[in-house]
Amino acid sequence: MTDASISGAAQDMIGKQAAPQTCEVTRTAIRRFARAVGDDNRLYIDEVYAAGTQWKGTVAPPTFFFTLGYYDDSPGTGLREDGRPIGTELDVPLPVSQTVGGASDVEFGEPVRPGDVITTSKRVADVYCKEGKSGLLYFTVIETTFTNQNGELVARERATFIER
Amino acid sequence: MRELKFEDMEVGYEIPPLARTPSNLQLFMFSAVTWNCHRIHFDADFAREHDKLPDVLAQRPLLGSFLCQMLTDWLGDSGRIARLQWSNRGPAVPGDRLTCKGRVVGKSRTADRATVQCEVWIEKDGGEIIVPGKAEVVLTCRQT
Repeated sequence: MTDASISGAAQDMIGKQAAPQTCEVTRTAIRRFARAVGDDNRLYIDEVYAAGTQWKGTVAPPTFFFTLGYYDDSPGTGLREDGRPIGTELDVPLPVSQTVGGASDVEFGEPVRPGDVITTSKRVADVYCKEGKSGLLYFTVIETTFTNQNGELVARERATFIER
Repeated sequence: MRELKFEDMEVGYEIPPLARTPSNLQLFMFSAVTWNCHRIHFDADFAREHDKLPDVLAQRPLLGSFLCQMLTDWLGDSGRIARLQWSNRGPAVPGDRLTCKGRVVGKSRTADRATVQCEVWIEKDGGEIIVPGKAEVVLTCRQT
């Protein structure tokens, strides 16, 4: 770890929390997500079938949370050259231009169901860098917590973005 | 409905694999439903020139969703996923024939939870592992 390569402005972002966002989950959104993944499990679309399972009703696929507040604050215009939004609350100022990889660590809680109102809270959990084969690699860890209208944990993801 | 029980799981058990070949259309649809405007997932020229990728890049959440589907197809109504970790070690692009695989590497039981630890991964044709990962799944027990 060569923290001297991380600017003070970038280090100051560690621990920064974005304003929470809420999103209502619809049957349509669940169906579209399952179709985009290519998962034809009836649990996600067939209420009668799903009622007879451990879930006692339709639920969303476990990774459905990726549809909520990923780049949700992104407008359709005025984006960076690479398409990502400019000036989001959790922008970490790093001297990078390319994405070289990423990782996720997800803890799952209660399932997401149609009609749920999910609150998404994001924070910068860590910023660090390492020497790679072709120069410095910068790692940004974003922790996103998804809770439902009952305050129950739905999922918590720690995503690591690797850039250079 | 077929049932899996905690007691039946043995270290070394192989999870039924799931084969997927993502297409351009799938990447586009996945970006749309996740509201992901990152250009490397929909503009092949940009992905090649700017990020030195072989083609548009399959999204990290899509690859994780494939692993998740392998697990939910396997578990059926007998269990649930408690945790899933994965990392993108190499690029996956449209047309790549991917196979999700996994095996049981450990078991643990507490008073209220019976957990099976698994190693999971996605490999390309030829066996190159591009997405290594780990999962923890919770199963029901025959005796409580």
